[in-house]
Amino acid sequence: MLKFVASIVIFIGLTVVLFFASNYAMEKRIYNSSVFSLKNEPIYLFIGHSHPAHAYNDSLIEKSINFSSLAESYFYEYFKLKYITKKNKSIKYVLIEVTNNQTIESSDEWITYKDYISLHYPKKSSLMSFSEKYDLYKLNKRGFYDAFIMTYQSNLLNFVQNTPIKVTYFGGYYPTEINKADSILQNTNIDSSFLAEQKKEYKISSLNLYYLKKCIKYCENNGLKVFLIRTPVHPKSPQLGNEKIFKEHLATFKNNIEFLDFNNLVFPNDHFRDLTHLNTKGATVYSIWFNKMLKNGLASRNNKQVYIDSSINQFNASLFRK
Amino acid sequence: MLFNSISFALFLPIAFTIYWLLSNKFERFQNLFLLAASYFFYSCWDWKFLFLLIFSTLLDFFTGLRMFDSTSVRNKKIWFWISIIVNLGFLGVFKYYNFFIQSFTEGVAGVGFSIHPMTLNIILPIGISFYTFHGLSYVIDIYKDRIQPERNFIDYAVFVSFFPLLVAGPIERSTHLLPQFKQKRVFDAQKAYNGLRQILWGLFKKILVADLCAEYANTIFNNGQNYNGSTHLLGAVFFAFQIYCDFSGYSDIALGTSRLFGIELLKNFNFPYFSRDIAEFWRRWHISLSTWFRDYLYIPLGGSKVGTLMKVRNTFIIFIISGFWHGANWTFIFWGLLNAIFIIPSVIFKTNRTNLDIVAKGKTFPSFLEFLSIFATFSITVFAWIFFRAKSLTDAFDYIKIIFSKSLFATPNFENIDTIGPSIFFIFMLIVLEWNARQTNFALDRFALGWYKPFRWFFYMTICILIVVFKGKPQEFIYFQF
Repeated sequence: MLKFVASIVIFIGLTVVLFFASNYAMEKRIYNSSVFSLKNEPIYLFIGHSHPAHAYNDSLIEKSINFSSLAESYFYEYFKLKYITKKNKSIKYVLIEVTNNQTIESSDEWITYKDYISLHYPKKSSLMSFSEKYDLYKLNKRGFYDAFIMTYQSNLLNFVQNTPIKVTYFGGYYPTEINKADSILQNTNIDSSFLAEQKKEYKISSLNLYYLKKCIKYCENNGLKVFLIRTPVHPKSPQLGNEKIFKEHLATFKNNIEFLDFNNLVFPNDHFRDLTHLNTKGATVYSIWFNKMLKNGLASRNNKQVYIDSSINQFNASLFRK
Repeated sequence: MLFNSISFALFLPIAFTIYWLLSNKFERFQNLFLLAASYFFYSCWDWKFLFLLIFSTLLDFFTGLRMFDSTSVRNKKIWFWISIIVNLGFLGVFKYYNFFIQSFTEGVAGVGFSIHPMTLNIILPIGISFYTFHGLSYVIDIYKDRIQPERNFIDYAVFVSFFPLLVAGPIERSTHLLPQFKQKRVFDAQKAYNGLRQILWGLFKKILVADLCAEYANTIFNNGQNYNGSTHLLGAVFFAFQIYCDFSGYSDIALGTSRLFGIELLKNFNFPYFSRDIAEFWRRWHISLSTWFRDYLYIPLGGSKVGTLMKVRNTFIIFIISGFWHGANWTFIFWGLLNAIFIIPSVIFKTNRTNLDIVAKGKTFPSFLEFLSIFATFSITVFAWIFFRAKSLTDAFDYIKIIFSKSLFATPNFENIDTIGPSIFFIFMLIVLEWNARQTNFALDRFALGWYKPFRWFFYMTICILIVVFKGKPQEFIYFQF
């Protein structure tokens, strides 16, 4: 009986070891993939959630790479940032998206809520250390367990089927032809939603912004120039309802962290996917314009926002002339 | 507490350890502990129905004693019929009341009358069909003077409530199981290892085949009109594997668990999809129920010792009742009827006992003729399963109509089903391992035993990991509803 129990305990122990060892090997396969050492030697790295993912067509912006991913929190962006910049020493500038919906408390759910863990953990687990995984586990045990199993399953299937790892694995430019801004504006009472957003009592995010600060610190410690940027959204977007608290919070960042606001750029409705994201048409126009800005030395100018605003005025004026 | 749940994974080692520790010092408490563990197991589903189980146990225990002690035939008959009527009464009320009421209302409405009878919101007590049949076989056997009644209530109660078989069988016989509870069980490591292998194989079938196939089958059966004929056909095939692996997987876990406690249960499945005709299929599918109906219904009706017409009648009765046993729905009755129609030609031409041996015995592959027979038997079985799975007869006929449309030759649609690749792989693995093991009790009974130990362990560990990785939300076993 004792021998039986002992052999079962050993069997279970070895199974656990095999499980974690195989998980580690499969994650290493992704981590060591050469596709993330980019051949075009990018200088500019874009990271953020859906706004930059839809907006920056990196094939139109010279020496740039967009690694943004939909509904991604700063938690995962931090791991991605570390990984991509380690693999690509050519990167000098990191442009991190900061929008109104990421500074408020509800954005913490992007880290802790189980659906978001299931969405992001499987793709980014290979970038996380054991202690970082444990931090996530502490935030949502059940959600982490489900995502962990899901990750193993998808890594195993990819391994068995020998699915090639693509450069867009961790995120990238996400084109969309959808054009719904007009119908949203016609079918919803935008003004009242905007007012409702304004009246809400917002609390500032603690967890999500903690990782934003970690991203900034990492860049500072590794000689990377970091810019916080805001991609244009439609002026009627209810997300702008918390503009006051958003600006107040940005003011609390250290002086050397520059915030580059492109939100005053005006695009026709058919350039938007909805009220918060550009579509392919909008992304093309915006990326060409952004490329021009970078070529004109935006990254190294003094008074960047003054230059941006005057360029935006020119852009908007030319648009209205058309 | 599902067999494929974390709670059972905790319950089993605790029960196992206490049971064998007790047996070393207090062997008389083995059955008492098993009874307590079984009642705890059952009360995890719904503790209120535990009283029904205890009542049913008490009823059969005392009527058994009364029948045996009766000095007159009349008294014996009275006690016998009390037990039969009360047992079937409970089953009728809990399982069939609403079905009869609704069918009667629809029938009356068909001839122009309208009535509004009272239907009840009745929850089916889990395992009622199984433990009722346990009790019935015990009472009938005493009535027929085949056995003597059990005088120790604990031993009898464990026979009825033994947790591995309590909720979905196999349906045991007192002649087979009770004597095992009367003996002292001594721990046998080889038997325990074998039990663990059978549990592992049961979990493989349940989680890696049945639950993955269920995703596909459920999508097709629940959204019928959106898919083409070939997708419908595949949906039916996937359901055939789902129901087989769901139920036989459960039985494997039950048999393996039971073996861990030193108790051997009746074999319930014997590789039915390798059958060469439908009669062989029914000798290999849900064996404990088929033999129950054979012994307690078919033979009393005259069995095969009557004329052809009576044999045909008896076959129809058995299959229709067997269908009805599965659930209160016309689909199950039609499924039973269909199987009777399939088997009748072999009853008439007396070919129903042609294939008694193991297919391709001693060979690696079947002959072409054997392969064709297996394929044909499997095909008609799949056809019948459509009625078993459909929500109504209309749905079943609509489903079949789509299969036999022009789109049967179109490419099947696998959209939204991420696990189709693994499902096909695990079905393939199931077929290969079961074919290889068809002369043994279950696929891992002897498979890999001759391998170098690290390779053997690696094989088992891989299955364990796959089970953990592909285990989604625990799906209930289909046969729990019966």
